[in-house]
Amino acid sequence: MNPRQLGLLPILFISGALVVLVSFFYPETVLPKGLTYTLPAPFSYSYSYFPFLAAIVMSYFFARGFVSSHSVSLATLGVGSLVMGAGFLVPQIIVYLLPASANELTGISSLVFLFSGILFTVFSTLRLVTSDRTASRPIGLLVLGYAGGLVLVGLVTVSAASNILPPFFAPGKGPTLFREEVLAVSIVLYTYSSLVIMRSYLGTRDDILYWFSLGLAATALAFLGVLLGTFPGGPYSWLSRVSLVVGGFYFIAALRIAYKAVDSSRNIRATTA
Amino acid sequence: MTTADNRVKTGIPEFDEMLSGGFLERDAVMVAGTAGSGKTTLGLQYLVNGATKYGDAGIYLTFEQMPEQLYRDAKSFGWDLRALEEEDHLRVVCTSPDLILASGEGEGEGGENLLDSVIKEIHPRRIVIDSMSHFAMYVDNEKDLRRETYRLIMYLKTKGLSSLLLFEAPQLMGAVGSVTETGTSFLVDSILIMKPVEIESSMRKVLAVLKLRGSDHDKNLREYKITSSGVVLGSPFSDYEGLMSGSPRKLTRMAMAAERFSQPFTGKRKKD
Repeated sequence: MNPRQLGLLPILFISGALVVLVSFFYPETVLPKGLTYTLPAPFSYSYSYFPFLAAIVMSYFFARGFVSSHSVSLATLGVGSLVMGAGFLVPQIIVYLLPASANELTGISSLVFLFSGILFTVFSTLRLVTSDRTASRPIGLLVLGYAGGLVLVGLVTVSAASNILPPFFAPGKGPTLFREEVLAVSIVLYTYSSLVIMRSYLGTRDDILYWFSLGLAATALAFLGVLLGTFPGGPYSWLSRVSLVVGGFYFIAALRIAYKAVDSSRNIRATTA
Repeated sequence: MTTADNRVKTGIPEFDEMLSGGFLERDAVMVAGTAGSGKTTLGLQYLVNGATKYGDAGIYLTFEQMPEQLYRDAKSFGWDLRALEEEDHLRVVCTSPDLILASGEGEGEGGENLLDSVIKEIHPRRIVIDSMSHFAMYVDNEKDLRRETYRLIMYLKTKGLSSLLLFEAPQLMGAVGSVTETGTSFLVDSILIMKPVEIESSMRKVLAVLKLRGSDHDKNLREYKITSSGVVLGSPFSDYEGLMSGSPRKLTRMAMAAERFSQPFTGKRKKD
């Protein structure tokens, strides 16, 4: 079994587990409430840190690639990765800094992931319908794009903290229909992007695309687990958390391939010099 | 002889690979390089390989060197130009740009007549003009130079010749428009740049394909060396950035990984 086939196993396991849960334990309220478990602080959000780090490193890598190639696709992916990373981190920062409610935290993460999904979709659609475009002033566009992404996350955070946003979570009732709609759209966008990138992989056979596509798919599965679940710390919730960590590993695998390729080409040059 | 998709091979395997198989037939290729960068060597190699490997006869039109000097220099690479001339695979034409330019005054006069007779004799497929910088010296202004260059290129194309036009460019930094300083680069189908760079206190040579009209090509900057057998291409300069700007910096492992990571998302795939 090669690494690519091996790498499919976790995502297949999570998908299978979700199917079993939905088949036998949906809605989650049919399960005993004692089945929930949440890690104590500061480990309670540790499953977010890993995908956050992977997303930020990817964002940096895309920025470097953009400065070198001027490819607008890379700028889009870079801002998308930055915003996705912010979606993992910002709610954790807010919960420590402010007396944030579940509504605010849910609102921030839902909207930020939606925006990152839109950016990945823009990249994927451009990839499908046009050839890659280049920017004439890469540094300016880079600063504008990355700063714009962070400003967007900041605006969402401030709006959520100021209760300007529609309710995402009702105490005692759970997520609102609006939140579920936003999450469902994010799932569709991430899945679409994952499929388009996998299609590119089938054309180029570049493993970086393969692992990046799986990373997006695992993140979409994590959102699906959140959408279907009811209780934080319940089986759906844990499946979602595992899926986030698996997604982080997939992104790291894509980054590792790049390093291996560099080392390999350096070794070849050293041998042939 | 050209390949099935009308490629004119240089006979330097790594270079042909860089050009996706070779130059396109009848293309006018500008080879811009600083003094001592190996333009003449590349030009001769293109003709010698054409004659010996692909059966293409060629003309070496020089405004710079006397034939004896050229025969001697070629001999140091193991190329016997006299023998190729005797076999009608090559003609070395040493003339003045005046004669080429004079033919513009009317048909049947001047330099093109000179080329016409050579073309009739050996039926060449390739030509190297060494150099367009000398040619430019005989033209009063840039507008006339563009017109004369255009006329010469069209003449070569109508005669079925795939040409290398050597051009000495003292400054090869920055934008494409500065390659020739005379604004003639838009007239040619392809542009090659040959440029020495200082890296870690030693002089190395960089070759880049700046333009290859109608064809994909390798955009990497490749190192090349002038060896006893001619121009030999090495690996891409993937460890460095800023080579063409004259300020090369060695890329860190992380920066190289970042570039490699990004490549497949732009639709390009780098060979590892």
